[in-house]
Amino acid sequence: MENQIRIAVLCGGPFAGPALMKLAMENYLCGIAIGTRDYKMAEQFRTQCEQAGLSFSHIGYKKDVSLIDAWLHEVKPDAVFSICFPYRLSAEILQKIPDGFYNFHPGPLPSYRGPSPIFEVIKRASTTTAVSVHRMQEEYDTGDLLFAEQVTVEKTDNYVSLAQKLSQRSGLAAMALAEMLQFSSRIPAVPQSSAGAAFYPFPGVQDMTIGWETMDAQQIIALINACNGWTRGAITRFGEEIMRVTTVGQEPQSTEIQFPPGTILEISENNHYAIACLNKQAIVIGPFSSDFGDLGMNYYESAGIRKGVQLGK
Amino acid sequence: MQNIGILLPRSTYYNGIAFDMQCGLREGLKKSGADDLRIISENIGFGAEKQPVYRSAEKLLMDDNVEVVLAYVGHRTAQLLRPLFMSANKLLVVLDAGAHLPHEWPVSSNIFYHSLHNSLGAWLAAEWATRDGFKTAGMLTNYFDGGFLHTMAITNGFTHSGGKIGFNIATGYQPVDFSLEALKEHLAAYPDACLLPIFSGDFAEWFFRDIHTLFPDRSLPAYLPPFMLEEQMLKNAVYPGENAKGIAVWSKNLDSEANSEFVAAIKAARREANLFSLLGWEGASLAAHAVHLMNEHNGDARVVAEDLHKFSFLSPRGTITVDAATNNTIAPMYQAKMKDDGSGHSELHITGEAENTLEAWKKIRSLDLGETNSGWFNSYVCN
Repeated sequence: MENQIRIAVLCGGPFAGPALMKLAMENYLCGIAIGTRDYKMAEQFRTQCEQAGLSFSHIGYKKDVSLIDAWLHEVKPDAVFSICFPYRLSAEILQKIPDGFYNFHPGPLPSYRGPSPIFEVIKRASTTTAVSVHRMQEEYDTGDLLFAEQVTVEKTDNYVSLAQKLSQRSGLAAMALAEMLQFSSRIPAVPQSSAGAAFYPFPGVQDMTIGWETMDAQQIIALINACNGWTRGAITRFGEEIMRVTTVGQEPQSTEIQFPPGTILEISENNHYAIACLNKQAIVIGPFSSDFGDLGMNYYESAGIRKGVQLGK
Repeated sequence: MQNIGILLPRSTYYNGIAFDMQCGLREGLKKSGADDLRIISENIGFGAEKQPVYRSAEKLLMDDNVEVVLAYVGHRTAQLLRPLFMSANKLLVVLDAGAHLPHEWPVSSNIFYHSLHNSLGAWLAAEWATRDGFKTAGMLTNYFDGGFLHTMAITNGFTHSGGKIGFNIATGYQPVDFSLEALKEHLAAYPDACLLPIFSGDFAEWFFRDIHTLFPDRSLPAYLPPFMLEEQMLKNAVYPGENAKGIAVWSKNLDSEANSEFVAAIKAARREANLFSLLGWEGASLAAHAVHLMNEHNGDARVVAEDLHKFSFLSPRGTITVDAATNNTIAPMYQAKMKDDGSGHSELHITGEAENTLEAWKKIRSLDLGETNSGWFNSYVCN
């Protein structure tokens, strides 16, 4: 195609894969910059870029983000797509291509601004999410919205499965925007509404910890799903012991009486634990793991985790 | 006065396609009591060039301030327009032949698909073949029609219901290249096979001509998709005998009040009712209702989409509903045979409503297209 536009992609890793593939196949892609401390992954991207004849840059640390400036000068793209790039771009960099920087935010805007919308959407049991495409400005996730690709969140979705769906949908959105830029005379965009706007910072330990006495069964299930695949799992404690939970039965069970929330009601042979929750309900979780890997059922048994004890204490 | 837009195609075989659609739309709006809506049309040629399609849609939305755009384009071109309509928060109603199968069914609240469902009809025709006892079939197509994934629909419709594809023939699209000679050899190897042909327009005429020439004493069993039972083409098609049958989407002779009204309205406008005026006529019902909802919901197409999911209307081909999972409309399909019109040419004869249309639709939706691909952006029959 004559006068084909050139697009550089700033990304954080494999989430951008479908978008990179589609843009490359249609000859829109001119370069990739990856922001990650995972040097092995960065090298894989470098090799693939070399094989495809694409320019490549690796930004290992936040302090190096200004290197983007020189790289963009060399690559000379018409537009820059940011797909889960982890570092904030300065106003100076954004001004290099006026109205040319676009972010593919993996969550609805303005209601899920921030670095971890996938976690927040699942944790809050939203039934839909989106890849929101917006113009970038220095403040995170605040530029004018172009469009949002809706994605349904199933009850059984965890962080990994939803991230995969959003990754695929980002590919579709990236192609859609590339063609829009190629063929349109003007790009319609609307300012984000301030109504319903919310910013969620990077989740901390507290955000990932199961509150047996404050969260109901559905909220706990949602939290465990939100942590599955992204961290080592949702956190619960027993005394000094910190356990991680990645798997959970998706439907709570009823109990005849209200047990103290967090009480272990049953332990199955395959290391699953039925745990009492609020509202005379119970959920099945497990097996436990830890920040150091899988320690095994015997370990937890010797630490005193057995039927009748109360987690979270 | 509010505006609606239509992107009109061009076709060498159906050279009146744009006039037919526009006539159907205009008369349909009158019938819907919405003739105060002004129609603004743009020509998009064969629909294969992205730039003019995009620019035409952009002009309708931004310069002409239309509420709803109807467009005779395929799924792939609709994908191209999707972000534009999402950004503008307006509705696109894709009027589609249904020849392609989309590789994904990404539901956008801003796009609805109203189709003649050639793929669905092809699937149903192939299922009919297995019900008639055929275990082996040969798929026949040509360079143009073979580029659309209705070929997947007809072959998968056959294999999913227990049949096996014994052979495929893909011939050229220039008159000099078009040949079904290979069929002789294939039918010698598979004497009990039926044919699953996928052709349109003049290629369909040539198919009927050539099987008559190659097998003058036989009526080959052939199970036909809707565009091979299109009445305008059939007038010029050599009658293939009683063993040719298939699935039609509509006939001017369908016995219903809605159909009589449609055929009469188009005739009064000095055109002859056909599939394309039908699409325009039905598009009018969708557009009129969509504009009404846009007014009701303050121009928010996303909210309008939710209401449109519940919309159904009576069309000349029966009651049309919306499949909310894919934003596609679903219409009844009809089992059909062909009759000799007395001059050796063909005439469509509807024998009854096709069964299991919805089940077949669900199967098609869940069909794994795997590594299949197609470079065809053309609107179907636009070449």
